[in-house]
Amino acid sequence: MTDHDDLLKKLTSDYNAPREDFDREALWNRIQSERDASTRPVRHAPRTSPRTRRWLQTMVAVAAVLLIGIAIGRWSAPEMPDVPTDAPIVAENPTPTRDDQPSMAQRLYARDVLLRTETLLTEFRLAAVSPDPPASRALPWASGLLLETRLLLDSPVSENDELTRLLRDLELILAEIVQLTESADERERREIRQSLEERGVMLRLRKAVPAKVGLKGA
Amino acid sequence: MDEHDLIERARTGQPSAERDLYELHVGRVMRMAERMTGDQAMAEDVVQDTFVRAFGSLSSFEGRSKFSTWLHSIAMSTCLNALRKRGRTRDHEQPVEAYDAFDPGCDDPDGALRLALHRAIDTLGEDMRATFVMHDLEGFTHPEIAAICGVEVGTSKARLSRARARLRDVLTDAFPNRAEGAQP
Repeated sequence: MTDHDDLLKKLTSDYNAPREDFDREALWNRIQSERDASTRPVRHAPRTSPRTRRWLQTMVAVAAVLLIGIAIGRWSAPEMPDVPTDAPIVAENPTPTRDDQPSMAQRLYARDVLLRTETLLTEFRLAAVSPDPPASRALPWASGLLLETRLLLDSPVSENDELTRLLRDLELILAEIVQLTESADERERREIRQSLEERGVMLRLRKAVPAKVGLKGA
Repeated sequence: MDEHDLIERARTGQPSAERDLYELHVGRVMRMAERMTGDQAMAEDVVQDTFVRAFGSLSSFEGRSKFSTWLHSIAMSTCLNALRKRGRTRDHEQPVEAYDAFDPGCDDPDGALRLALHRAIDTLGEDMRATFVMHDLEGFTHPEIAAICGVEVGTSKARLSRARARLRDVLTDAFPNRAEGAQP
């Protein structure tokens, strides 16, 4: 270490020097209060057992098959006859009703999905530098989030353009993660991480779900 | 009881396990938050939000990384969000004139030099500052920093190297005589 480094170390060691101690009890009480006030009403689903997960996966698969069936049915259905000219004229762009607006419950649900997606993507990025091989356990979780993201895209929540773009990017990335197999090589994982960086997904996710940090001291 | 058991118990909603996890980690998380924000009240908000988010999503923690790494990753993300909200410019108590008042012959020249360096750290990019704070001030290792920031170990090393070089430049530019005759 050079003299410069020593001097640097000496003069920067008290940069934003932390306190020796603080009131841990008071802070714990604040955490508990915050959880009571906000987390419990939108509590995340409890950890599911492998059996429940298998059941959920089956249900997701059944739902997917049904959706595909409906889509094929609509696509292959004969076109409706033209409306007679003397039919009553209906406004093509009716005024949006209250039903078009996302409800508070839908907003909370969207926030919950985005939070869980942020956690999953953080885990995915952490796995890149983990000494352990990435586990395939995350995949069912990613499939569930992919389905939920697609549901959000079809819901009134996605009326916001920025959120819609974010959800579309998340849909793509989650789909890529879901398709990863246990034998997937590092290149595939790196491509997904690059995709995350290029699209600025983490930053946009954090903007969409901002930390609820007050600025009491600012 | 080891940490793995604590996490399992906390997942089932046992408050005592959550409290134990909090006690185990709050000290280090608070130090990092205070170093990053330079504001005790803001740091407390960051720590509060970090634990609320961590306990809220504990079910999704898969154990592929260490719990402390995962927790610090949330803390750093929360810190950066809070700082972006506030804006990074901080008012130091000492006035700008302190630079001009620097006199190599005075009794305590380190004050002005220290102030100059602290301001230089403030102006480092987000990633470089976080890396410098974690490594040089808080003693995190490069693999730990890489895991927390979600980057490769080499990236962490490069960021630290760039941050130190930037600070050395400041040292040399602002106080050439002192830097040349640096005392250990």
